[in-house]
Amino acid sequence: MATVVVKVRTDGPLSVFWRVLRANPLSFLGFLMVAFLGLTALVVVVAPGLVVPYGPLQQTAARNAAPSQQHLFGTDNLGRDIFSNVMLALPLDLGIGFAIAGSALLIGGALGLLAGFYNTPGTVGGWVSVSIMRVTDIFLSFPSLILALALTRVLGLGVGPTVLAITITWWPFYVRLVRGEVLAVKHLPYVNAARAAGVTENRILLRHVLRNVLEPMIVYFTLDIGTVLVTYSTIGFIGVASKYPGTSPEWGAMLAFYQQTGSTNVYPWLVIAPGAAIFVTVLAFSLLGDGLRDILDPRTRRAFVRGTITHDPPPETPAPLPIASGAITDSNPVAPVNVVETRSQT
Amino acid sequence: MTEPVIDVEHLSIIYTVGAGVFQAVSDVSLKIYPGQVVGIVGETGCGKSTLAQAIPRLLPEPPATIGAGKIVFRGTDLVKVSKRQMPMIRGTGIGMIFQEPLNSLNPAYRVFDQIAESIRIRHYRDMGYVKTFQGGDAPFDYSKPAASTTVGGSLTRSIVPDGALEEAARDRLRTRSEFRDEVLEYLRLVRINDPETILNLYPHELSGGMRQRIMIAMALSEKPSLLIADEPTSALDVTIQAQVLTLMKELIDEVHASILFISHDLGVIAETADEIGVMYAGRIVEYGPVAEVFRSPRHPYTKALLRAAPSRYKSEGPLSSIAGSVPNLSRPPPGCRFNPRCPLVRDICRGEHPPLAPVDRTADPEAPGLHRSACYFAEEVPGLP
Repeated sequence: MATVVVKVRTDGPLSVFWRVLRANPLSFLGFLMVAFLGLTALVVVVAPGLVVPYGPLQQTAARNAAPSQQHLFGTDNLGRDIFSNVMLALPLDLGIGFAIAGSALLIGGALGLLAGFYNTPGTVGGWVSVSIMRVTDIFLSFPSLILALALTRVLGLGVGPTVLAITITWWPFYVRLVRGEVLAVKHLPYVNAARAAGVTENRILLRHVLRNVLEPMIVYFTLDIGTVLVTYSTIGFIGVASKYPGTSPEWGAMLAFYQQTGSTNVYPWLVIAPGAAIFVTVLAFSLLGDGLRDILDPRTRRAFVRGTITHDPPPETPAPLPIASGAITDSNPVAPVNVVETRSQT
Repeated sequence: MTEPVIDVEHLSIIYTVGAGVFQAVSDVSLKIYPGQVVGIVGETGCGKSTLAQAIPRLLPEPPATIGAGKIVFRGTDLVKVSKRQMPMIRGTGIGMIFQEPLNSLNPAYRVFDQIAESIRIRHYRDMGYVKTFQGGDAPFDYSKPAASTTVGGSLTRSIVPDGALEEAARDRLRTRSEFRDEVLEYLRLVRINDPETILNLYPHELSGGMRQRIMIAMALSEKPSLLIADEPTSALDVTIQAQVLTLMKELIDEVHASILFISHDLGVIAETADEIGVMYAGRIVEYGPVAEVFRSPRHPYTKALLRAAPSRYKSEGPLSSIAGSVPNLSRPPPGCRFNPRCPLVRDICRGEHPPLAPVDRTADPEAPGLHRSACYFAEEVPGLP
């Protein structure tokens, strides 16, 4: 009797996460970039002295200085250090991105789940569903940037009102996305099978449907952080979101300020630095989004892990094919091969 | 006499699609007694799947509506049960196996989590952690084992064993690893090799036959008193079909559950069922013990259906078929629905639909297990070619 030892590595979630990222260099890069940006933002908040050499409004002797060792991204016409301002803006901009996209994900996701799942016409759920979708349509019929701008006029200037204004215009996209996904998933046989097994409707929604629409939701969310940042920066650029120069700089506002007051053809670093910061952040989240999709889908996730199944040790003499020896029966399809399995936790 | 587990009385189901009204199931009556396997056979569109899904009230309503009739499950008319309460009966009361094994498992969860969910549902209901069914004429006790489920292995042990209340406190603390043993038990029950590995796999990593076994394990793990198998082998290829069928037959002996087995395949029904109902255009046209119905069919449709089965294909030349086509169920023909295709048709067949009456006219019409036929000329059927 031949003995085939099959080693199956049962990996923890972290290890799987690591392996998927490693197999996909671009999303690995995105992951590194997001991790780097997040850590840097944390340092800026906790111990700004380590990474921010000058205060946001501190004027140095070097005016309009080109990038150098003292001023990595140069200085403006009053000698303010661009690098310090870009760094100080990082936590604020990341926070804005997460706050807006996150609230939109929660609000829009919840409404989308309800609207998609309880949409039987003639029931209370049906009316709620129709109401949600019509309100969503009303919001979607305005260009979101224009609507957000109009709302900032009502809500007032500053970071908080602008975040609120963009969030108000942002959630309808998530409703549409999630509702569509729910409509597709809720008619799949496994949902009906869960119902037949005695699972209640609410639990079907939260356990069986939500888990299967989570993947497009999360991916859209990470890609969306970039879009939110650009939108916020656009509003910042118009000059209604954040004040620059000020104690809490923001990239969009920086761009706007220097575009209007600085000679950017002579001192291009004034706008290159904040522009590049927006670009890098958007790119990082976009790349990460791709990798997350692979991790969230069990099919692709397992495809990456499968490469680690090793056959060990190889059988010394090739085992006779069970089919040739006539030993396979319906009830005992692999009778002659004794499969011994060992597991190693990595 | 024991009470039937399920007693379907004069059930009619209507689909309203656009302006059309389709009578998918008309006046179907069916009784299944404890431990009995009843097969329903019929061609595509005859209403057998509608019937199967109507019993646990899984039909989307609308478009479907239950026009008339009762579905009495262990003393409770399911037609009157509210939508909120139905989930409390499904699973542990009426279990179901579907025909699409490839899509009936949630792709996002491992095999372990899927079976554990079923076990958890039963467990919580047994221990009273969740609200259980209240209402009906008599207090409904889904956990009461059916009369014949007293012997055999793991599935048929007493559902609330002695000392269960003392155990309940400890059971509340059941962890993932303790569920594991029970999950493994059910995987072994459905003859899965190497269950320890299968446990950690996702559905997409399993073959169709494996997935159907998992589905069967999930349904059985809730210990239903009635199991409805809606074409469980139809989506599988022939060799896997044979394996799953062998498994189902072995389990039927082990489990002693009552089973409603739906199929379009006469051979499958012949191998598994005790009694068979033949459906045509939404009605049961013939009903009786399997051997008797197959040996001497008493309805022209059954006779034609058996003749069209390819078992004797080689010796008799071309395969025979039934002339004509299935009637449009939005405008069924008057009287017997088979009359446009029937070789025995006379004027009376175009009047009233014949009742499903015992073939033996002297028998007590209420007695169970009789061979019945919905044909005015049932005696003439044996004379047909």
